[in-house]
Amino acid sequence: MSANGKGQLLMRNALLLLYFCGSILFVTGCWDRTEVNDLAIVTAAAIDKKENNQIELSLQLFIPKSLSMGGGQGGGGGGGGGGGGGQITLAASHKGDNIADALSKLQAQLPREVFWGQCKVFIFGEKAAREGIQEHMDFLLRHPEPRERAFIYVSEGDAKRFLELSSYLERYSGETIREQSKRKLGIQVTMQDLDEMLTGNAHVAALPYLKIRKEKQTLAKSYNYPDLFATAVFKKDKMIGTLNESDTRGVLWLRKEVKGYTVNVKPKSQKGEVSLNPVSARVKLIPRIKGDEWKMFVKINTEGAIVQNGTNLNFSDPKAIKLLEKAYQMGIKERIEYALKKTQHELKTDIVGFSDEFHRKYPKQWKQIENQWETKFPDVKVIIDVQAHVRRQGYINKPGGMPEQEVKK
Amino acid sequence: MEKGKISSLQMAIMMYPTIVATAILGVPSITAMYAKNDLWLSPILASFIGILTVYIAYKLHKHFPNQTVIQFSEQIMGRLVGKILGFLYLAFYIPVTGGIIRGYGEFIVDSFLVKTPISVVMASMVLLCAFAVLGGLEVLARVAQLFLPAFTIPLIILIFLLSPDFEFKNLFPMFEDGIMPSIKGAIAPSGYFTEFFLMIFLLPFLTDGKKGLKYGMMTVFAVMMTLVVVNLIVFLVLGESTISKVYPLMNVSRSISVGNFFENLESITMAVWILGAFIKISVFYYAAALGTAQWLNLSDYRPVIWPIGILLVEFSFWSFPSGMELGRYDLVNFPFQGLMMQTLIPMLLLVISVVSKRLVKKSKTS
Amino acid sequence: MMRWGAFFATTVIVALIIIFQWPKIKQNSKKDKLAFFMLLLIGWVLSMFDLPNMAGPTTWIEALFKPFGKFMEQ
Repeated sequence: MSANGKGQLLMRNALLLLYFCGSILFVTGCWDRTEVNDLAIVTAAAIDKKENNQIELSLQLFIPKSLSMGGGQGGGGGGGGGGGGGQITLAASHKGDNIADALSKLQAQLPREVFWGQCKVFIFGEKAAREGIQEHMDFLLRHPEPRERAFIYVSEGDAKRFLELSSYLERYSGETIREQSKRKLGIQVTMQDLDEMLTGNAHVAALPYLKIRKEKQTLAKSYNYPDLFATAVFKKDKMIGTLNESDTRGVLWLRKEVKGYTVNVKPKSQKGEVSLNPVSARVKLIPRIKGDEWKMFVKINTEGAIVQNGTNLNFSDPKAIKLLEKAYQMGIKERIEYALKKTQHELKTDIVGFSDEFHRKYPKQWKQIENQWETKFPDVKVIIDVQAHVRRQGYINKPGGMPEQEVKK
Repeated sequence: MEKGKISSLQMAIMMYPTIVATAILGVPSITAMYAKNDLWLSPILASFIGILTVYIAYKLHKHFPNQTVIQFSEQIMGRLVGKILGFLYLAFYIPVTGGIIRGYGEFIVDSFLVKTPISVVMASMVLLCAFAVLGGLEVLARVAQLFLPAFTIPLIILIFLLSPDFEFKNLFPMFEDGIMPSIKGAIAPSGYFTEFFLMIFLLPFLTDGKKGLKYGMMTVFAVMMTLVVVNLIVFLVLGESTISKVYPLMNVSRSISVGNFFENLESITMAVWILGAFIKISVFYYAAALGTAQWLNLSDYRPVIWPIGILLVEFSFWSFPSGMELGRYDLVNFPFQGLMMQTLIPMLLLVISVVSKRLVKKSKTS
Repeated sequence: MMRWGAFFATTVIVALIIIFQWPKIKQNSKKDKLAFFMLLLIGWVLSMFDLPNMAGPTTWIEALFKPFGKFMEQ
């Protein structure tokens, strides 16, 4: 190889080296570099309606410092910003014309970039919900960060209060609410579910309705906790009413979401009550159209386990079991009837999904009344058929702690 | 010009991500827009276009075994008309490749690199693809081979992880408004299926040309199955809200939650998609470079690779002021343009060549 | 309207391509070199325009397929 060639080779290698070193500057993705310590992690968000057509966006922000400083005192919860050592979250809020506007103003106050990716709880204040949530949903669905799996709620009064609520067992109130939802105590609605409900057949939606419960502790200060057993009912995107706790349970049966709560029933001609846990529940909605009459058969097949017996019935006796099953059946049926009375005849909103069932089975008939479903829904005749069985009785058979002679033979 | 040789299996492995990569992202919402819950039927209907296109490409290849469309159109139509036709093909493939690059850039910028200038995202992809194309056909085929598992296995995992969220009742009632909505929904995916005509740029370099047809058809089938499955899982999870999503597969993969542990898996979709887009752009890029060189009667296609790269990035911007505009173009224009350039004109070429060969034979015998 | 950033960047890239590619195609035929430079020139000239907001081949083709497009947008 000539000297010239060698020089060229050297030159080429040098250029190649330069290229590789240079490329390192570009492969890091500097433009979108976001370090965790540049982020303000939102753990819960609340949207409230304020005067002058403004909304208030409140964010529960995680304080990372609280971890390294041994946030062991954990309980503190979020205060209205500032003050109090050991608090894990901070509630920051700002008003604006809409979420985007309020967010940009709020962002200006924060040293770190707001990050929605970990926000699993969004709460709408009742006032905001009554005026319509569609435009807020647009922001949440359009933005790439909020998760499909985030839970959505409506709160009694201002939603912001829930972000400032102290939390005892969990680290912050957002987590408390989320864990409660996961246990399916009330209805459970994710952002994805809400999107589907709003765009679906019936143009209605249901969200869990949050309340703050106050329990007086005997010695120490009182103890506040969020409660999501009730349900907020939406027509289109506007909230029009609520269902109380027992109606919500009826709705849970119809929506096939029953899980982990206790049913108290009173067997006929008995003084006390028996508590049962539904172990399994199969719910079937069977629509039927005959001429002009629309019927919905609700078939429920459930099995329960006895958790407490307040009567003197002895459940090793098949007759007693029959009696109890009968009462269990009636209990569930009543619950559903109450819930239907409220949703079908008072609120006239189909949050139980009858429209989907009719649409699926009778597409042609559905086409004709599609736009009048709102008026048709209250006319649907519902026939409830509950098959309830008691399968397990726990560790004792006779009523516990009761002398033999008092037990009913 | 191209000294590399590939097997028909390798061709199939290249073609599969080339078609599927971009299709899985947008097709579910486009088909859902027309076909609603019958969207699973649309890819099946659209695949007939794919079968037809592969058949035509193979037959043309049989008539002109060592030539691509740029070369044999001159033989069929005469020098002048053939040159014009060749130019039309270049004027089709270069802007289309630009559109694919833009689609890739829009997706990345929309979902992940929000602040990065889109030109940087696209230019770096073109740079990478240029190196792959410079390597020649064999390198491209091996790259595709290497990435195939990385492309398909995550998709399969995705299906398993999503299965707890499937709502099978979303699919009923079937064919509420008859079959028309599904047919209309098939138009956009059929645009993707016409892209199988790219095989015409690969067939001349096969070592086992006879198997070309078989493997081509298998690829059509694989693509069809993939699109059906993707359409199904998206609709089973998202229901009617599929229609409003730009990248429904992203929404779906984000909503995975298995045992509180497997969560936030959109990066899988992203990785799969970048790999697929890389292969897709490379294959289109290769066709554009090879076609240009053949059209200009150059001795090699390598000198034009870099200049074409610049053109590709420029075409990715040209007439597309926004991502929405590109989406609209893909919907209202590409299916028809693709069908004309990649299925109808080749069909015409095939008919003419068959007829003229017969005429020649006849005149010889008589 | 001219977008200087894009034009400048393209100019640099064109220059880099010529520097790195020239040694490789020096021995190629005259036609190859001509095609190489012509395509680069086209790319360079195009970078002077505000491409996203300019009518181009895609706009013309879209006009051609307008009836079909209307069908899809129904």
